[in-house]
Amino acid sequence: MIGAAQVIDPGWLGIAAASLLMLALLGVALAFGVNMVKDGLIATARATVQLLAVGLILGWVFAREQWWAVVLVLLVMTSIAGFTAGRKVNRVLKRMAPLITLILAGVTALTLLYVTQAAVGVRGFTAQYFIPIGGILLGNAMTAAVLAATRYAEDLREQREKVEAALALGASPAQATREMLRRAFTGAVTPVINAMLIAGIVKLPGVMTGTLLGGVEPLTAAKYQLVVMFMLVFGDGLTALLVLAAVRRRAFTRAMQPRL
Amino acid sequence: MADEPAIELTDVRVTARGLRELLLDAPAGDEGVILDGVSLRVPRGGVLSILGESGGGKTTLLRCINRMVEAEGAVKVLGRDVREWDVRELRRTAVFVPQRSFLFGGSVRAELVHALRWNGIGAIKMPYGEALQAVGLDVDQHKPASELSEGQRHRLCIARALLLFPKILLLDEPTGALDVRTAREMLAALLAWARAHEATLVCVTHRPEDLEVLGGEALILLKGKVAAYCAASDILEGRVNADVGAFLGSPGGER
Repeated sequence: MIGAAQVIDPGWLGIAAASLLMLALLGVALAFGVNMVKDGLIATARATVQLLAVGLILGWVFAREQWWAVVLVLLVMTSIAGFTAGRKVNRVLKRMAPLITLILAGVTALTLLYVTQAAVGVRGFTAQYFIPIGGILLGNAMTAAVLAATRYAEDLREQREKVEAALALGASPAQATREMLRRAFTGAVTPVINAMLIAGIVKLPGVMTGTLLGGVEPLTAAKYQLVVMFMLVFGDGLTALLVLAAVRRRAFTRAMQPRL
Repeated sequence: MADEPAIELTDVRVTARGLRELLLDAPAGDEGVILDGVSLRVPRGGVLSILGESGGGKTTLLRCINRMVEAEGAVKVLGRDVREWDVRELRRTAVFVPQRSFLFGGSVRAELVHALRWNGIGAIKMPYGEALQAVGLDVDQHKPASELSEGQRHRLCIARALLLFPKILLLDEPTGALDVRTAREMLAALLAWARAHEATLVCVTHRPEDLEVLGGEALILLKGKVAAYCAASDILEGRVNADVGAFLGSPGGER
């Protein structure tokens, strides 16, 4: 346990009370002539089912403290993240899901091991540390992968003639699309960098909020937030670079002809 | 080996479907033929002008030679099939300058250096002045290239290609953005450069008067087929068949 303070369980009645807020908003919106009832109810139902299911599964995993259960949960999360990213990238470039999943798995394994061992000092495959940190890492890396891949592919499609002009002067695909890669990479890492710039000033970032609610000392919570932010810059950046290298490979033939 | 032609195309065919096959997710589209059985042979140091309707396959013909598209039939550059060349070596031997001018950022000098750097060529002591002169461009090399006029930009793009000292220059509408007098001056300077460096010149143009300066041979592409392949003087003096005569005689019929 990080802290010793006890945490209040909201209870089922508490959940019901909170959901009244959602219903109240839907009602107010209706009064303004905006009908969001269907979307709102679906979102409510999905969030309830998904989160409670995850809570139950994680409860089971936490209780076991088996390394394979932790690895299994991380693998499932990685596959879902990889295929979600693949589906979003599909719009501009088909069949990238397997490769993106592989990249996410590699980056998560490397980053998670380093952070838990070198930064936090966790002993063993402890679910309490590996799963939340792995989850936030995967979620961010997934977004970075989608941003980088779509940006690069869209730019290439839009500026195909310019890229060809460079290739015609003897440039390699890497040289001809250097500026696009730079823009796609920057675009993918900017969200974390921006989050770091405003961290703690405009709002309390997620990890800090969560650990504070869990009863952790504010200073310890701040330290966790810092560890996570440094980790996210690395995870997002490395994922973006690897995904961009893979997309660039797909986007040109062996005879260096653009395929988009 | 030395008497191998600079460019030799034998029965080259390019279809819309063939172009689409390169693409990862190509939309289904027309099944047209872009180049249909084109054969030609340009000797080393020779000059060939290509005329024809818009969408008649002129640009595609140039893009076959630097292997930006795949063609059926045989395309040989300096006696070697383009598929046997290292692609980057092929492209700096036969440099293609597209119709639109693309700048990659920076001053006039920086623009010239981009292509050198991509090819690992040292940028010190390159004959920048000579290259600009060969396209009739007299501008301050420190000026941002984006401040040049469209005509000047296009000539800068050609000068950028010249600094690679290509054996073959493939120019798509080099005079398109120029007035008649500037066009004549540039073509004459370019021709002198090509002669001095024993380079082969292939020029797509829509202006028959460009042939007066370029001389050499001319090829007319109509609907992807070679409608005429003769000395430039034959075109200028009207020794052509009826189809070609109709094409040449239609003022403004071509862009």
